[in-house]
Amino acid sequence: MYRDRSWRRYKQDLIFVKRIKRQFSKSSQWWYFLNSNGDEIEHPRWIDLVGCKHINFFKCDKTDKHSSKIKNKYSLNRTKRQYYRPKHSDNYTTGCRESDKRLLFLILRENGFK
Amino acid sequence: MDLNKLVLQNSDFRISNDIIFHKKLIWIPLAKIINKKLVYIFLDPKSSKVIIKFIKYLQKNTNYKFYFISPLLSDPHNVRTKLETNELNIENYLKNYVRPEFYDEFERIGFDFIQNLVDFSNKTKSYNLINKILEKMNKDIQDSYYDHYSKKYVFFYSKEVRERFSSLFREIQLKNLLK
Repeated sequence: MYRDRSWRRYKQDLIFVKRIKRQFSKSSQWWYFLNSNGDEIEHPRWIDLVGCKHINFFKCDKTDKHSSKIKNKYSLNRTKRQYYRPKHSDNYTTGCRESDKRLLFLILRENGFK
Repeated sequence: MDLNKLVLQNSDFRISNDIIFHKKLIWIPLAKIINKKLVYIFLDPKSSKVIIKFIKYLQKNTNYKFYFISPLLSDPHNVRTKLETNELNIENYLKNYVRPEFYDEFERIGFDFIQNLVDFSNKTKSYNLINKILEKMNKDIQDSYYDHYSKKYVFFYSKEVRERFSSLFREIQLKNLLK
């Protein structure tokens, strides 16, 4: 099976929902709850957390568990030299999409194309 | 219906029971079709990009009139608030007007949000509520705290928004007279 970007996004969404549900079950919202619009809700569900800014933390959170192994293995951001994605990517690291893009823009600016 | 074209173009949209949904992790209600001339949009920051695209589509390709309502009214089983619907909707209008997701984008598109608010309040006969809610919200928007590290007052909203909001009722009164 070819695992493309849409498949990875679908898989990431599943993990994201799982993490939201887990966070919601742990914390107690019986006293006070505000949704993304700033409305106070009496009986919240996990659906009401969708769109809150603090929840976006779970999108890019990485673990050593099986759930984020797939993300490491098939990610476009992965370098060829190392298995894990470099957290502090320098300009000198190549193979990573973000750093490659940064290098390209630097070269373009130096030559006056941008 | 013209809105069916929008839904067919993109698989992230769906219509059921005259409510348009869009997909973002879950199916989030975007708008409610009242009749062939009127649509109510649920104004919510979590679907801000989709709302702006939807407004553009309505203005260019259709003859629909549209107003904004609170996303809490999208749940028909239990309306989970203590406020009245008119008060809730006008508060939702003003709350989202200040947010940069909508404030900057509406200016970029050229959409007159305040005129829409005036039309909606006249339609629902709730024009008198605006001043009361504005005064209540103005305290929160002009609020600031003193940062001892940088020795400056820090505001929660930008200067442009604060100045605009302090003279907003005058603008609303003018638009109500000139309509």
